[in-house]
Amino acid sequence: MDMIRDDDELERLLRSTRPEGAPSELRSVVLTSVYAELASVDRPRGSPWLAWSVAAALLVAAGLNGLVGMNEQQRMARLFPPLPPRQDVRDVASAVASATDDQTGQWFGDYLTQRLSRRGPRIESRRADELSVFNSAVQRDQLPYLE
Amino acid sequence: MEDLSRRLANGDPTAFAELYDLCGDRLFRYLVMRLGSRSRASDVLQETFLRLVRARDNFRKIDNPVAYSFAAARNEADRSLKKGRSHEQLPADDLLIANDVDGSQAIDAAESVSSALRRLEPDLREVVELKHYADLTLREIAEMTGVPQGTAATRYRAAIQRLREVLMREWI
Repeated sequence: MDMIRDDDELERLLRSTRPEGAPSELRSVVLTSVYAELASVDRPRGSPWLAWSVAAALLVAAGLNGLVGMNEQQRMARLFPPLPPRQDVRDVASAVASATDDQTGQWFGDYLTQRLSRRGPRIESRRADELSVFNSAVQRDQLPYLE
Repeated sequence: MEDLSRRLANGDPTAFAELYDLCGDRLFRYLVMRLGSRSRASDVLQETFLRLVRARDNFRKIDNPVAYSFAAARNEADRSLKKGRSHEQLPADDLLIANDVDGSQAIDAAESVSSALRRLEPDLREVVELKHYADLTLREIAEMTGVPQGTAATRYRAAIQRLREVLMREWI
């Protein structure tokens, strides 16, 4: 091979020595996979703004729901303040206090008030129902087990 | 080019065929030089086009889809080299084919250029490969490699000078 005298000659040499081009079948291989990929991702894509708006609306709705719930709790607490302890509870509490100490009596009184306030209405309404059934049975003289 | 970019971004299949016809062969030659293997270059070229399809929205932001495709191919080639999958590696003297030279002179020329290129620093070697085997302009090379055009030109001049030195040393 001749000596390279200048850069032009070197550039000519570079241009004349090249890697072999792509095999002809590669075009169809590449384009087939491109078309398959395009078909697989060619579903309608919603606007990202829409997705963000829905997410923001849900967040605001959840926040408002929490706020309304808190306000409702406060309103109910204002409308229905805790009931003063019942006489029978006070009696039991003082009996416990005399048997133990004031602190235990106080704790037991609170405990009973809490339990009764949770279960009370249900029990009382059931008792009232039973009582009314009993009274009506007495009035109709239908108490077979007393015979 | 602007129209092609827009059609590529819209996922027009004919635009991808057009892009392949525009630069598929050049991309392949560039990848063969970078990876040293024709089978690996085929795999990477296919993967590059798939990536271009998946990220086709990016074509809206670019002016030159060819330079962008070369940048994508370069990234894909680097990824493939990192994975290090085994492929047949072409010997340096089989990478290039001399077209305008006859017989043993052709083999000599291809071998000499190939081994001289291997002795260049990677940055310099790449600019020569992109200019002569991928037929990119210096402006496109700058765009693709992310350097100013002046830097690409300086690298090219330095690469040519180094190549000449290496080849002269070899023939003395």
